[in-house]
Amino acid sequence: MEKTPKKKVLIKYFICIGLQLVLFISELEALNQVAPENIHVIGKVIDQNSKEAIPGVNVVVEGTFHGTVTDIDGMFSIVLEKGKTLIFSSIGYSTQSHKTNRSYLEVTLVEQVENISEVKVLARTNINDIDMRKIAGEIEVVSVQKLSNRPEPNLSMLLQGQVPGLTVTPTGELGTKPKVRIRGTSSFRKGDEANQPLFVLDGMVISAEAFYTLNAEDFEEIKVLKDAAASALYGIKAANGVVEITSKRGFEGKAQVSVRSNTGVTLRGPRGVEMMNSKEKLELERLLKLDLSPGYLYSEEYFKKYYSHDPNLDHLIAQGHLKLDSLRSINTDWFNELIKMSVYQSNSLGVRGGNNKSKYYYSIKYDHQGGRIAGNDLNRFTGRMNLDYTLTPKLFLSLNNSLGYSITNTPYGSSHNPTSLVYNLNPYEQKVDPKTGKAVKLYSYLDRTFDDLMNQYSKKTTSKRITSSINMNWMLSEEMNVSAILGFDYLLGEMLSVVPADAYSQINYKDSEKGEIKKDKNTELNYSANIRINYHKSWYGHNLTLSGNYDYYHTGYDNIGLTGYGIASKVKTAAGINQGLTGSRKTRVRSLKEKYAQLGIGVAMGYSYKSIYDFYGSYKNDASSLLPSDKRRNTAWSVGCGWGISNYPLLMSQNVFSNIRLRASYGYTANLAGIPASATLPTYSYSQEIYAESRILDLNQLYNSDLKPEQTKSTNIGLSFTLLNMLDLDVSAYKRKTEDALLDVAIPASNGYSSMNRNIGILQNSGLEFRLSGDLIDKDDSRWNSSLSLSWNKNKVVELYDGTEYFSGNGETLLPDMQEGKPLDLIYGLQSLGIHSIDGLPRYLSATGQQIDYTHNLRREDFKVLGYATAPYMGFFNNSVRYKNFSLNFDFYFTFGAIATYDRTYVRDLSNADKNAVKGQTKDMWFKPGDENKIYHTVNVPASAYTILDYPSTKTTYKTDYIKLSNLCINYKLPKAIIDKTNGVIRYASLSIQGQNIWKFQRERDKASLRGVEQPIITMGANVTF
Amino acid sequence: MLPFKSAMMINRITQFIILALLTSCSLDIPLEDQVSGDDAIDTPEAAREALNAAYNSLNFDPVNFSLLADDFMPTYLISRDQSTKKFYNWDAIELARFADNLWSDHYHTIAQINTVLESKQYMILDNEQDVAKWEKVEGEAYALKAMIYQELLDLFADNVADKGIILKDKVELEFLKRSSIAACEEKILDLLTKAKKLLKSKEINKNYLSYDACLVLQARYLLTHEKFSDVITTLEEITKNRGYDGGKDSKNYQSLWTDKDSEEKVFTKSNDFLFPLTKLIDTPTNGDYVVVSSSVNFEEGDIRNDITIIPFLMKKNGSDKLIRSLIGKYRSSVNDYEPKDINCIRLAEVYFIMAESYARLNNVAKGVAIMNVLLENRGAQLLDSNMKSQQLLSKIIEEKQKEFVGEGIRFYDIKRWGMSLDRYNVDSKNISRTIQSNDFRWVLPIPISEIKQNKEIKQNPGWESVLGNY
Repeated sequence: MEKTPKKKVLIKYFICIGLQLVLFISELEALNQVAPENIHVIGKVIDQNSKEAIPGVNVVVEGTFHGTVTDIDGMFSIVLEKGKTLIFSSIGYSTQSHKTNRSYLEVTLVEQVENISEVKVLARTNINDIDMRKIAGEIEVVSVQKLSNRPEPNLSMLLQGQVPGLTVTPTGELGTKPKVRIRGTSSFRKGDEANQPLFVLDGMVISAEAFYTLNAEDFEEIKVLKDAAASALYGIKAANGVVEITSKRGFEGKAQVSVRSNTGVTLRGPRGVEMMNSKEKLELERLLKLDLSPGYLYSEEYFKKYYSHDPNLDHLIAQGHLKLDSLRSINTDWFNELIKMSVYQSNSLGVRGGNNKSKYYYSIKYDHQGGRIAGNDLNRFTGRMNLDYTLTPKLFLSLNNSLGYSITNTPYGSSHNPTSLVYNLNPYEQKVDPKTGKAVKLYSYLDRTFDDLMNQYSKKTTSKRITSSINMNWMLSEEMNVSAILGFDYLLGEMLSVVPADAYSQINYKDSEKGEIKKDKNTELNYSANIRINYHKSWYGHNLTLSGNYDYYHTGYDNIGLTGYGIASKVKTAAGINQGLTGSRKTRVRSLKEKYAQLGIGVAMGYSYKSIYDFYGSYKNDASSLLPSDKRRNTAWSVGCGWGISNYPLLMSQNVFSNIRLRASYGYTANLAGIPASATLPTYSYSQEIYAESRILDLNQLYNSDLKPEQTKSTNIGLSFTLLNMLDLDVSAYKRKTEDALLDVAIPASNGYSSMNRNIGILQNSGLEFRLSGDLIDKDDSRWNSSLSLSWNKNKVVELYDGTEYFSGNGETLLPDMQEGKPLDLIYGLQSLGIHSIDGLPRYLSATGQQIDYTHNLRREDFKVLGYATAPYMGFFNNSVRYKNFSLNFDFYFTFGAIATYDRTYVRDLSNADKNAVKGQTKDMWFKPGDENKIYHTVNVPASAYTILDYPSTKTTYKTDYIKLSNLCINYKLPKAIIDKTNGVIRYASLSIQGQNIWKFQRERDKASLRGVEQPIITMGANVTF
Repeated sequence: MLPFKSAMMINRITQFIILALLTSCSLDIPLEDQVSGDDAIDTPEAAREALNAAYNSLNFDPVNFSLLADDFMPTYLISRDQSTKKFYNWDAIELARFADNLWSDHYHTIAQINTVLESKQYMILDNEQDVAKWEKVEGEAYALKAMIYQELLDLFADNVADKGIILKDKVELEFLKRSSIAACEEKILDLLTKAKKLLKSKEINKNYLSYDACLVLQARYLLTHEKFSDVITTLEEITKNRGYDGGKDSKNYQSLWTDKDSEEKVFTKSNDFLFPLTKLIDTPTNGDYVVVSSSVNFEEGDIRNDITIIPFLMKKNGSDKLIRSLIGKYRSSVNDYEPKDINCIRLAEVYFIMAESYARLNNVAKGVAIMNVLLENRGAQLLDSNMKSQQLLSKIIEEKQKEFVGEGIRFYDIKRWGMSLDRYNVDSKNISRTIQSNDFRWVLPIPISEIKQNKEIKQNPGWESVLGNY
């Protein structure tokens, strides 16, 4: 065992980078000699329709990695062997090749926005991105360019509604990582570790956290690899698909500086729930006879009950009436009081350029996004430096460095959420008494004033990230090249949370013990290395590619944290902790140090005959340090084939169908992602607590020595073609079967632990994806491009090894959580007949058609399937319209086919009616016999009735289908006449207005929840290139 | 041709990359802040640390069983915590929740004990000190297991169907049946016998189970089986060595409610984390959800009065403030929130068990004598030796509640004595309902999490219809 291999390597790495940077500069001169048989070609690339220059077109010498990029005027300049072919490619255009025997070339590219899977990018940025994967793999390419204008600092969220089969779901407040899934969840296990795709930046594996903080403007394109043939090269880590990101590079030519600025506001958004006014709320309290609430406390009934013998009874009642009248006259709208509009800001600066030997891309960006309530915001700074060197005509080197710094402030704690105050504070309550100016005691939070609810908690999280990689491509010969990448990704996350000494929660503590400080410092270091050898041979229409690779990933976590109490009066950091405290207010320290590594070897093969018959295969074997040595090695392999039907000479002459291509693939991946060593081996750790002044060594979990990795087998079939050279159609169908699926399942409590990781069954995901895109209008000065997609995903529990059903621990016992032959997320429920007017409890319809209540012994047959919990259908309709200098983008996103149970949080019962309630509860709730047609059942529920009330029913579920205008953007490009007046200082300028989430239509709304409420953001932006 | 310098550089880069790729490839990365492997626990020190985990997870909460028994009466504040209010009123769902936690916690502790006992085969014992250390750990592990089995049996055993509890010996997934009550009792006695043998004349730490603690556990068992003379011989071993000296002694009694050492402590659970009475308290200014039951009254000069009761001016529904008796054990004032070690077994119980046994044997003289040793120590009025055994018994019942109010012992006594139990309205002496001695709720329900995952287990009588499919 080497002591500190990681450190050693890093030091070596730094020294080498340093040395080489010095060497490059001195050696660039020496490289200027040009081989005599070479030719210097200059040229211009223009758009076929607009006849305008196209900047950023990749110009590559065929069969090599040697190339350049066109400048802002579409100009390029390259030196190459005479007679060689140049390949011109750019996203959104079809690729062209030209023989070079002249020194000037004018190339006209044809716009082809949607058929982007044809695009070839310089292979050097991602060494695993080898062409032959495209033969059979399901790969979607997204141009980041058109997305980066949007007022969304989160890169993951930008991908929502761009790729069929890719779902991105926001998880909550500002600065939290969204949930990203490709083609559904393939595991019984919930959570990101088991289900999220692998993220790869320029060939280097990065964490999901690092991905979502990236600056979208730094990237050229994002590839989403959906099936095994596309992703098997990444081995066992890629069981859930891969997201590859390619960064922007410099180009040969005069430096291009672009400045972009976006400013706007985040609007309050919809209310979510309409709450009661004072009159209704007080009436509800009276009806519920709530001891501690004014509606009852000042009512006639109350005085008559408790002061019936008091001589001043009449006076008391009169006083009560007065008090109630004054409360009714107050109507505080807590939504308006607490939820604020906030500012959105984003500024960026980018510089790119270079010469034939070296190219550069630098950028910096600053984002600010404000949250719903005061004290919640996100600030982020990112910077990037990408350098490319052509060391010799056969050796290319790239350096990619980026850093990010973000600060998130939130007033949300685990037990404290100021947003909830909007729905909890009563309308008859006030911040201060308008007459006296003094704080008023609240009824909703007894003994507290409004000030006692605010400034109770603050949390600041900062994250600093440095990513650096060195990337090499070496053409050993015409047929063979070697490429390698070495990189690291370092994340430093810090969290400081403070409960101030004057917070209400601290009231019971002594002065010296008041206040709480939590400080955490987490570091994560990912080191990755990958070396790949490619061999390519062509003869008489045959194309053969062989490839082999070796990779190594190492991840280390080192976290330390402390919790302390008794904050000093002047200092709000860890230094302010009172370390003299003992007992429950003692300062506590946490630590986590973990390292793991993965080592893999892979081979891949691709064969193609005249682009008609294609075959592809790959095999990868990975070993992980997390597993016991006998289970360490796991494999991932795939085979695929493609059939380019339209490449038959017979079909090439017709114009109705073109680019017809059929793809099929099958792959296998063994996966143990997210399973810790303690799941298979007895593992003990020391607790922070002590017993009798000595340490506690505790078994982490009940281990399962027989645990096997999950085996994912996936099949994909795809068809794509172009109709009348106008419409592109893409259809694919898939089936993904997970055998030996793992789950932390409930076990009998008598085992001492409530759950254990077990291989419990087989899960299958299948689906269809469909996309139609093309130009609706395509004229000289106007163009409308549209893309419509629909995808469908369905999962099914194929088999459960222990019986046909699985029940989780504490849920109800009649209906299983999983059932063989049924989807995972079915919602079962009862047929409701409404609230009975005699007892205020619901009645249902039994299987035999009888009317039943809670005393009925429910049977399985009484339940019916109400629907799915996750939407099986989702899609998008994205449009881009251009007319002269104006362009308009509008994107719709929709999902349908799912249901949800009404959230009854704000329908109050005796235990929480001191808080405000949902509007209409007083009217819709059953209070006394004879109340007809009520929606909410009585608050006096017999203990044995809770079971039946907890089941969903036809009256408590609703359809979650929605369609939203996720993005609307109007852009105006300054006309050439104005640009020309700047004498070439400004080369391009545009102004834009964007709106996000500005419209949403829901078929049915949850009556009492904030679910699905997204805040609209409207911004104005300017973009200038010098 | 490549320029010379370039060629050098390419060489260097290639070398570097290949070097970096090929180094640091070992996958045997040990865990840095955890211990892993079958033989992870192989020294008596590690075994002690592992047993500490079991002690620490021991679910011994004096408050819950006191709420269920008649130690407390509810105040108007209890409405602020509906779940506590329902629990006080023996609401079936609250009881089921409570039983679920208790069952899971107790079996969790048993699993932790089993990890210690299973580590015996890997134990490296180099010298006599190590052997002694290990014997103490092993003995305590048996004793702790016996103590938990006993409590589970008291609470969950179904006498009618002769269903005891699950006896669990392995740290692995098993789907076990409930053993018969006799088998459970045999197991408990066997564990205690082994524990006594290993713990005899070992060093004593009040936070760990000791030989004396085993004697008390054994006496509790014998008492429920009405083997009164065996109880007396068992407990005399304790009273001979460490009984009350005679005369009033407030020092040791007061120390019981602090972390200080006290001669009266037989086994206390070390507790640095939670204030034991949290569940009862609303705020220090408002008062508690419950007050000490009106049947608990101390005479002038009784040293227990100042510890047991904190007089506190508190509001009442629809009337003015009144002085109330808040429970004072484990706190010096209403503002005292310090966590303190929790008494699980203390000396006074020895005297009550002995006195009860004498009374049941109709040996009133001896029974009164032993009660009076304790009462004298507490500064309370002594008993008259001319009373009848039935009178003595009722005096013992009354005095035992006074001694142990708020400590949960009363619940087990009421159940054992077959008494009925009254529930009171808020802030009043009006009985709201009475739990009869034959009420099915005296036998707690087997948790749903056990029944659903383990097909061998059936629910205790009465619960299925009340809980439905909860």
